[in-house]
Amino acid sequence: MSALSATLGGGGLRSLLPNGAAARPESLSSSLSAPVRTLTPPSQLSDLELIDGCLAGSRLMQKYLYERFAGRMMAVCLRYAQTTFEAEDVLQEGFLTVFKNLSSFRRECPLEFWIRRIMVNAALRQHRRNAPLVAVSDGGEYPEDLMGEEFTLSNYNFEELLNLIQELAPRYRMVFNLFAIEGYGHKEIGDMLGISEGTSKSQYSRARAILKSKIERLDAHRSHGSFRS
Amino acid sequence: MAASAPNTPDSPTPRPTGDLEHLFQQKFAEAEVTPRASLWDQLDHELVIQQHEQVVQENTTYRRRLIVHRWVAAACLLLAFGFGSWAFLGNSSLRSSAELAAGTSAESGTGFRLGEAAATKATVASGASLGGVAAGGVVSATENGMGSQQALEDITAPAGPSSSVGQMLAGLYESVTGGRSSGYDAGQLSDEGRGSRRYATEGASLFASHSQATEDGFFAGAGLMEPRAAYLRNSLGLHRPDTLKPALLAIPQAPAQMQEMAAVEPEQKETSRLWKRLRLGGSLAAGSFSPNINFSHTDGRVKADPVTTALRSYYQDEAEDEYRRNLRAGLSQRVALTASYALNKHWTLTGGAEVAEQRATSATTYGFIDGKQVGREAADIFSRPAAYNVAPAQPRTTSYHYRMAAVPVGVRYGSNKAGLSLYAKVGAAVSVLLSSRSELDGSPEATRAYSAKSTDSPYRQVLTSLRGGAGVRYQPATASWSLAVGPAAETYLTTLNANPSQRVANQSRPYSLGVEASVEFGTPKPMPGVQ
Repeated sequence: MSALSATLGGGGLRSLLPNGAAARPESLSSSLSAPVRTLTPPSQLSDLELIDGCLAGSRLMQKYLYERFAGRMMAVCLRYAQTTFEAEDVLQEGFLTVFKNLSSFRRECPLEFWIRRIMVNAALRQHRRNAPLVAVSDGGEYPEDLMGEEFTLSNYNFEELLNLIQELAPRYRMVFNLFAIEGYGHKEIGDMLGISEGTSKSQYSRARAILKSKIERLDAHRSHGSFRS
Repeated sequence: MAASAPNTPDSPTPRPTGDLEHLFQQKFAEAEVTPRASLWDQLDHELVIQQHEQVVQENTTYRRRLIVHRWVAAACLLLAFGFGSWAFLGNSSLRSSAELAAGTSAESGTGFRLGEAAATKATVASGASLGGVAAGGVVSATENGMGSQQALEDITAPAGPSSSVGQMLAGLYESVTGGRSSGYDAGQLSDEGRGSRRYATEGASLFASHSQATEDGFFAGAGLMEPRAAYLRNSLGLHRPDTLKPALLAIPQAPAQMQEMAAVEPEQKETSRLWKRLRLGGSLAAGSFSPNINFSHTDGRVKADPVTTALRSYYQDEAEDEYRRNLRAGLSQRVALTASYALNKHWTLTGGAEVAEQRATSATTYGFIDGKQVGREAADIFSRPAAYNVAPAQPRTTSYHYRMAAVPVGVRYGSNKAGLSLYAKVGAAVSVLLSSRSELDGSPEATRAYSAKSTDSPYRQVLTSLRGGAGVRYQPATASWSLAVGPAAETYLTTLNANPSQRVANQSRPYSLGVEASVEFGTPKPMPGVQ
């Protein structure tokens, strides 16, 4: 708020704001009434203050909100997209939706969680536009044991795992992200992607098998490399 | 693009090992990848473009509505002009008819000016010198209203030369018989001399029989229509040539009985008392009412500076636009008690008191009611917001009820006589919004109700409107009541929302169209013979 005031000149903002801004929450109104000149770093602004600023129409607050969440949301978008450019498209579309619908945010859950869901939905829309899901028959090829293996977490970094996911076919990548990382159930995933629950399970098992295979190959490559070195 | 490791203090369960799902969850949970620096500029540009497109779309909608309003205004003006002209011409022509009758009565006892025309014609036809005495004698005879053989004989005797009288009567005969006497040469008649008295007698008898037997029918046909048509012609600048004016003056005069009746009617009106002109009644109107509210602030941005324009919230604009887009007119009902006072034969002053109930509907996906968003009382509106659902959110119906009380006044033009007649009326009303109720379909807890005392009501408490209507009025011949039915329209001069942000010229105001039926009691019974 203070940053907004400092940027636009405290009381001068009142004349710029539309009528609706006068009915904003106390935090915004009080800070607008006081001609605060000190520049508050964006990191010290709470999520709610950012929301209020955005609802008041402040472009600066929109930028702060974007900068606060863009990194984490870009990581989300990269998991669903095949390329960085595609991920940036998803990120842009997602933030447009965020700013457009910020008033409907209920403030009962963390803002990041709400934005993440918007990004996931934006990714799904992008996926539908670019690569329509091909219906895969439920062949019943479920692995015998889905939870058998153990991986040493410190052996892998973000980029390696991201590459593994981006190499998956789009339909496998979607199902794996939604089930393994976002925590949706197969029935929800089926509704979201327009496929059956069985198809979701099938594709997930297939994606998992592929990833497991690739990780094992990665391990083998490393051990081979370390052995050779 | 720079990636950072997700090992933050918030990381869930820092186990050294885990299954495949745990591995990915742990690595991706708090991962951050910085996007390109220019991405914000692109996003900012997109935001401005979206906003601009929305403004353009709203302006387009506004222009479309403006065109419709202009057509309606033009139609109303045309209608008003038509009714006004009809009323003015009707009044003036009747007045001119009475004036013409009175004028000719003053000139001559019976009003027959055919003799003068005939004498003129006889003079022309004979080519001989027609003594002023003869012409004057005929004129005086006809002006005295005699029109009989005796009178003509009295005239011809002292007129001197019989040929002059013969010429005159021949012309008179010709004029009365409509040219059928063309076989009689006026010159011959003047030469014959002796036959002049015979022709004179014949002409006088024909003249008398014609004037008595056919004047009633002739007057009923042409006499009533001619003054109105003549007035209309004169009003439109289509005067007759001067050479034809004598022929216009040759219109027979109304019989004495009709003149007496015309003279009696104003006297009756003069003697009518106040209570005889006062009528009480009621009316019921039903139609379609559109609140036509524009809660949007965007119209006010047309001339706003770019900074102000950019400071608008996207949600607010879309919710307002969605409300306008889905706004539908609803049923309007109005019951009134009326009192009317007859100013004169055609104009009636009306007033009364009325109550009205109006409805309208809209739809929203944002919980947007009465220009505001519903709060926690209707939390389910956000259970599937469009923002994070694959399927687009379905708009939910919102319904609005308005109850008003009003005091209407107006004037009505039409006949007050028995039988079928047309009427037209215009007026104005001052309304008070007694209560309003807004409901969100499926969320009764979100219902909002305002009364006349509510200070937080988004609606205007006092409204003014203009009304107009036309239709058919029927009054049985012997009854003291009348029934009127016809279309009615009402447009408000004020907006229904209390604080419109648009300029006055751009504001959207409510209107209604419907049918109105009214009944009045105390209509004076028609005078026998007048109707």
